[in-house]
Amino acid sequence: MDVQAVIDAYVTDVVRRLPVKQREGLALEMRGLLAEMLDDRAAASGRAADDAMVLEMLRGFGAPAEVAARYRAPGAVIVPPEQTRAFAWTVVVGVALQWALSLPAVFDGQPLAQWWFGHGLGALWWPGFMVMLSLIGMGLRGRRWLAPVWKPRLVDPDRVHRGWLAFGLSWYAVAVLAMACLPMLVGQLPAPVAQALAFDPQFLHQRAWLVLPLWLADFATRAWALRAGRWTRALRRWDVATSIAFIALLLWWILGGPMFQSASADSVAKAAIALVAFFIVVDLAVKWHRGRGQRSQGLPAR
Amino acid sequence: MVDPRENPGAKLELELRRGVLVLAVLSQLRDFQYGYSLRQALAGRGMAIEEGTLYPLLRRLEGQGLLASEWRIDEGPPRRYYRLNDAGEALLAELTAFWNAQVATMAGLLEGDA
Repeated sequence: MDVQAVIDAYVTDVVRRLPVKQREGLALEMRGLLAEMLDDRAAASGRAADDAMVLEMLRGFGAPAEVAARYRAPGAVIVPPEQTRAFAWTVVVGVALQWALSLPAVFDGQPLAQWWFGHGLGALWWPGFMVMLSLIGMGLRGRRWLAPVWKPRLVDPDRVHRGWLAFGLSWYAVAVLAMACLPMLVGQLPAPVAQALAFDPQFLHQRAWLVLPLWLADFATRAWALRAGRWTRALRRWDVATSIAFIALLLWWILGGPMFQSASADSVAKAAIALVAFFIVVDLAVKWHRGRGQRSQGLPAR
Repeated sequence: MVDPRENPGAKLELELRRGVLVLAVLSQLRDFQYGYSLRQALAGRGMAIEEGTLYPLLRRLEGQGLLASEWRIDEGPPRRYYRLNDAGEALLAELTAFWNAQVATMAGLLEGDA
């Protein structure tokens, strides 16, 4: 190999990554500098420059992409370093969740290729969406519209915000009332809808009513916390017991037979209830984790 | 080269060197220098800088309006020579004053450990 040809190829590889108007001057300058570096090395080693020497020198100088990056001014950051981990996790979990929900169709006989060119590749909208959000965030940060301002977190995690809790409890009461009246409300709906949403009589008599004392217990727990202005250890334990009872009841609803007379309404309702049970489990896990953190920090139990 | 993951001291030394790189380069550009001669000048005074770091830095400093440059053809290939312009001179004076103050501060801090 002609060593000058190797240098020329290297320089071309570097400058093609740089703005067009800089290329000519930079290529000329780099060629001269690299040639002098090579002459220097040859003189130091006491032999003529050869392929091995020029390759070693250019590899030491850096990969063309790295060298080109050094010539550029630092660019804008799309995902700030402190958000990179959360960004990567959100992207990966989002895609994995979509695949986990759509892949069972393949086990039911859908061709894998059909899945891949449908939901498989389609799930990649999520990383693109996240990148778009990050670009918007970058633009807002650049205009100082997203300047982070520190606010103190809740210093006492057991203290409740009375206003928000009262607001939540009032909606809780409305929702429970609506759910309790649901069997009667369904009867008032037009015939096709009423038939589609008709409850299974055995479900209503054996399993459905048990939710009422549980709701009442849960409501009373939160009302007590509202009155006390904080979660006490006894209230936390009672809350955990109620949550476990809810999970057990929801599982019984799902596994104990039909809830609705219509099979499609039954399967949709059970999927929704399974999701609710999952959220309760997650909530319990989060509370347990936070409690462990408090205990490890030696915070006083109340 | 020492892997900074295995030797945190090497990583911190590298960061310290990086911090003084611009000041070192500016200090040697009161007169015209081209990349290779500048590297030799710095190395001769104990500040060896890799070519892959130094040459792009010259371009970036010029892009920031701190250096003036011109092509010269003396002996050998055409060379681009760099020199401080007025803004570069002002920055050098500012950074030098800052550096001297930092050296005095650090000397005071490190005195107790001597």
